[in-house]
Amino acid sequence: MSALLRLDGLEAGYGDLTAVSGVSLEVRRGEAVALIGANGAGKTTTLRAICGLLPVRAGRIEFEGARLDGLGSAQIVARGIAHVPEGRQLFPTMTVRDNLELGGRAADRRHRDDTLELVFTLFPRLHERERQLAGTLSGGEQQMCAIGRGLMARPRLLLLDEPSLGLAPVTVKLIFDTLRRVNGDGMTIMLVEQNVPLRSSSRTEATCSRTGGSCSRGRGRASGRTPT
Amino acid sequence: MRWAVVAALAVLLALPAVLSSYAVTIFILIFFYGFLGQAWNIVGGYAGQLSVGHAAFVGVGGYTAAMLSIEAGLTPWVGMFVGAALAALLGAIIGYLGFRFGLRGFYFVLLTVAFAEICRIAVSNIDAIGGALGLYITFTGDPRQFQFRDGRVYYYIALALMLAATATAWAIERQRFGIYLAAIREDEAAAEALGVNALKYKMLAMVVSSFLTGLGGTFYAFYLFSLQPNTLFGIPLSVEIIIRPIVGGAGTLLGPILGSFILTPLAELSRLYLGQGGLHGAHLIAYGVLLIGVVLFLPEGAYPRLRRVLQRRSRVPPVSGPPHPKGCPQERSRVAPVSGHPRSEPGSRPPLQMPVLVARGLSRRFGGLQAVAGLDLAVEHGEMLGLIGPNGAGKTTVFNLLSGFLTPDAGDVSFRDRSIVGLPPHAICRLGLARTFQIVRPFPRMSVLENVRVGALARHPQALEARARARDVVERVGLGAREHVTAGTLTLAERKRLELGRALATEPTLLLLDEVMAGLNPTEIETIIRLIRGIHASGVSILLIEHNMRAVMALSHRIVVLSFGEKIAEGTPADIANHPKVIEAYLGDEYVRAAPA
Amino acid sequence: MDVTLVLQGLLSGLLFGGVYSLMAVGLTLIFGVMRVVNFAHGDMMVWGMYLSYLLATRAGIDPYLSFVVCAAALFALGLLVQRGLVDRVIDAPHEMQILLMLGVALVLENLALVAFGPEPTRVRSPLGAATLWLGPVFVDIARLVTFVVAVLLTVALSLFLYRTDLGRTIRAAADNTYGALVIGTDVRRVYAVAFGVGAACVGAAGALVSSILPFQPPTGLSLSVTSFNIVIIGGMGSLLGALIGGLLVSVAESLGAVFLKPSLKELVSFSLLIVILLFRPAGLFGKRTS
Repeated sequence: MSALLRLDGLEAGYGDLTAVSGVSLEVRRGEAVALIGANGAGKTTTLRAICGLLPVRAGRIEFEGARLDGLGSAQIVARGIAHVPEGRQLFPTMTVRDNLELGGRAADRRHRDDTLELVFTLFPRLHERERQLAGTLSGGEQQMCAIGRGLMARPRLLLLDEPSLGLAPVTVKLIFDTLRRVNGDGMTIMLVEQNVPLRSSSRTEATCSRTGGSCSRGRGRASGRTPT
Repeated sequence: MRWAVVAALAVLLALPAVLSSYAVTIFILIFFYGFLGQAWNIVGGYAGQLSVGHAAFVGVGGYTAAMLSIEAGLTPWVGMFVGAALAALLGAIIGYLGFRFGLRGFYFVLLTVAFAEICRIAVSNIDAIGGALGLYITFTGDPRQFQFRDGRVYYYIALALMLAATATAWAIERQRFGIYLAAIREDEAAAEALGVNALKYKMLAMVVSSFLTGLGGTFYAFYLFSLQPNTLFGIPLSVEIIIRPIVGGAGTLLGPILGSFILTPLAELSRLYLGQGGLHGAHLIAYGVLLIGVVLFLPEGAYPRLRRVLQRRSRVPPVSGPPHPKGCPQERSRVAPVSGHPRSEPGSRPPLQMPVLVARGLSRRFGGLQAVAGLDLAVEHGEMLGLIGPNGAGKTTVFNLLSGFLTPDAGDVSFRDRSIVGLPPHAICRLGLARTFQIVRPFPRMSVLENVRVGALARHPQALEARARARDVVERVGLGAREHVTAGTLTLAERKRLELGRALATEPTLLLLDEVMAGLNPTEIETIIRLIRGIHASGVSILLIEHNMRAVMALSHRIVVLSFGEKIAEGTPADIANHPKVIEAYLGDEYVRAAPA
Repeated sequence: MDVTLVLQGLLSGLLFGGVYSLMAVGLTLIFGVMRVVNFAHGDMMVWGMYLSYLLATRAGIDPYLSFVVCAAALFALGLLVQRGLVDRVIDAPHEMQILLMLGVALVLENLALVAFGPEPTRVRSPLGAATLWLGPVFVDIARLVTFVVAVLLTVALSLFLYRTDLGRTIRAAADNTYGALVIGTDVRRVYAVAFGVGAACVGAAGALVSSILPFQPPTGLSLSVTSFNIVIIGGMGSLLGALIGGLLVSVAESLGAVFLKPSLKELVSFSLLIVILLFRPAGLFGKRTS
């Protein structure tokens, strides 16, 4: 079974800073992978590079067999990768419905209403607050909206950056249950998390990312201590 | 370089002997606009505050001197300074309003434009001072009335003005004033954290600039003999004032002069040749194109680019900042205490001393989010206190509250037994509390040494001495070999050390370190840990935020744990590692077994 | 104090406010999306005026029809300026952007000077002198039509921004540029369209006032400053703020001309500007920026 996403010796950074180098990993179709590591290890940088939000300085990114590195973010979303960024990054003065529909711009117009139905089924709370301005939602509801917005693009790979950040444990559980459900329905997920206990509770394959960005190990089951 | 300047000066002094009177007038304009540009440069270039209303100062200065001469018979040689003083007063008002109310960039531009326009409209409507038609000065040719029959006298006066403004800028550049302005321009918040009173220095720059510009108003009035409000206060004049330093190089000494030498002849010639054919505004099109070109291709201006080209040719290593005197043996041999306020003792903590920092009931909310709630925190003298907690727990907010970047909604902070709530960051720094930033903020265009010098100036106002102290600190943090490297090109680890060194140079009693280890590899972390230990050993108390558990456990005497803005635990590293609440909220099972190194 | 005069001033101000609003909406759109202040805004409007003048004198097209062409032409100009110039400094310090647009303003103003000369011009429109009496006050038909058209254009713009996909994308980019990038928006294209639409607004506004107001190349500067006034008072980036601000400033200037000498009317708006800058820089409807 070939990999859905493969990173090979990825190098990326900001200005003069190289934040990650030599990162290699593989994500297979249907998997749920967690990318963990200490603060500043380069997890967000890796996600951003995959999504085309940061230029790739060296290495390759392959998605469904095709090269991604060098493409712009618009093209990558069109190829089937959706990103739920750290801090949600919603459009605060626009309604929940607007936010979701905007997420679906890249996807086929005909399916938009169906996908919206799906998102509302997964997150009934969003349906209730359909006409509410996204900036007035609670932290948990914003996270749901952000995930919903990502799902609206009908991606084959969903990337999430620290979805549990700043949320109460009850909300975190709800979100992760939903993610598990989505993953069970066939969506491949890659998740960046700093919150260590979460990793073991979600029964995912773990890939460790070393501080300063040297080569990451392949997959190993569950715990491996996070090197610091 | 010096010889080139002296030679050029000699040439300029001798020129009138060989030039036609028309050519003399062109030079007068070159010097005059060079003078105005240099005056503007002090606040627009060095301080980085874009003012597009400087014509107002020309107007105030000129009108004052003209009115005093016409109505009171006061000689313009004195009236000049009265006018300049009034212009400086206006500058102080505009500066205070703008800077005190935090107007930056576009908003500040608009403020200056608004004031200039108000002056223009007001003067146009006051018939007592000429109204819309303006004032006319009768030509008497009397030198005591600042009037000369020979154009060449104006030449020398204009040259003298230009040189005076340049000398002022030169003096400012070399002293603390100029260095502080450069720091403010690079990163005002970072400068504040190093003890720089940004408001004071920006205002000072504004006052000096407007005073000099006001002097120019008198020259204008008594050279052209007519003053019209639309010309003297109008935006076109403001544009003429700013375009020369911008094209030549804002924030450099020779930029405004170079800019004037480039643009003034261009303007005059196009006015001469194209103006006759009815193409009045042609030279302004050229201005516009040049401005666009400069922004796109030469944002620093012509002079810095020229300087780099010349340096490459002569293979002289680039000099950043004022040159230091050759052969200064005292610099190296001084072994001054680099850190710790002279009064604090290095070594073990005196057990009965008051805590150096006490925070009580500290609270702060942002909109709906309670970022910090009722925090009680104390740092003992000579202690290393660790502050940990998950992302979003409020740790950096606490730092911002302690260092004066944020005001608490409730609670009190006292530092060395004195309440510091409500004090601005620069005042807190001067009291001995220094901080680093989570995302490092070097002054990117300054060298390592210059960066640290900004910190050192807080304790040593003389630029040369500050430089010497800064040298010691730079060695201390291991950047000695990279002293003259531009900070923008440093690696992350070097930037972290620079940030540390800069704060250290302010000779703090308490140092707040915000995630200094984030993003560093294990070797770099070891180096920083050694450095922090050394700083601590010299008597500085430290409060550090860190995610690197091993380091925090190893370094700290005590640890405070924050979660959702509240303190959930406090104690020794061993206490914390076993505390059930902490384990649950943050650490996870793995760390229970991580023994402190 | 003559009540009639006050009422007249109020009415005239209100009617002219439609144009001010349209002008301000264009500026606030550009700022809201790109955080760029278009210093050449007024000069672009002057070009709209001159364009309608050309169309009126050379092709005999009434400004109330030719405004469409002017809007289209200015849209193209805006696109060009954005793609060719502004795009390159989008990440540069704000001072650089200000100076760039100042340069564009200088070029536009003086090209107009060279092309059309310094004398004030006005377009003669068949609606020109007609007036309508409402009791003690009268209404310039020309101003009324201008007001109506301006309002219609503003409504059309709102529909575009709130009901179309592209419009919503533009609003999203204004709300959170990074978020727009994340969901795969071609942000460069959005910037270009927004700038073009903003320029089109003043192109239309220029054509609409070309028969009411005499204009000359330096008019551009005062129009720019008025636009800034309105947008700051109403709130940078706020559509509603631009609308209400336009009406407010127009009425304030009009009443200012009634109570004070006409030449002092700008004093009122500048003083108001300074007060707003100091005490409520976010304006009436703008977002508070930290």
